[in-house]
Amino acid sequence: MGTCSFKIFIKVCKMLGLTQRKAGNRFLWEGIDRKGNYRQVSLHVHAEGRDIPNGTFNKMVKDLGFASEEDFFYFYHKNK
Amino acid sequence: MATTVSIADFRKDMRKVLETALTGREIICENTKSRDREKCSFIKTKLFQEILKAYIFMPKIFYDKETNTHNIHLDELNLYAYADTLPEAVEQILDLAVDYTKDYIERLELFLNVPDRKEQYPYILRLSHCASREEIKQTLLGNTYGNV
Repeated sequence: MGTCSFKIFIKVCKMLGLTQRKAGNRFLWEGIDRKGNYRQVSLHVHAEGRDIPNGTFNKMVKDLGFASEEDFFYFYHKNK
Repeated sequence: MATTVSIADFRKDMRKVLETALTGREIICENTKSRDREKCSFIKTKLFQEILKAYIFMPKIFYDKETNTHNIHLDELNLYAYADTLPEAVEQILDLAVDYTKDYIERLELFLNVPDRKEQYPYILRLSHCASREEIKQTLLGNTYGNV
């Protein structure tokens, strides 16, 4: 698929009900998703605001519980 | 076979149990009075660290042309870093690993109850035994970084 803007990624984290906190050098998004699973994604503070590169975005999408990037964007467009 | 002792025997002769453990033998201490008979292992720390070496980190390092960033994936801990330069990305992944290890140990009860996070525990233990940031770097990246 490609890169993902940081803003969209954060919006989806919020839509999932995850909360953000700063822990050391990382911004931590964590919480329990709708299926009752614990989810956590962390980003380095220096990466904040930057577009998330393709391969890395793919990994983070899976950590949020989505099967694919398509699922991620489908969820975003459906809920925005 | 492993050596099992009761908590009562452990209390009675703690010195002997520890001396036996220091020979490399694993000592399992069992609470025979508890309903679920919980057990606890004593093992020589150096030996334990050797055992943990079986848990090897295999970082994936690559350059993303679209965003002009150097990326490092540490799949064993679900940590990812991306930065303009490779040294920056290395520092970021080190920061993330150090912070995550601290957080994991602090909230151990939570992470041990999440199946995919529980699997990370041996890797967390490996990092928690590192004495310095340099040792963590060596443990995480080994010789991989030098080959990039």
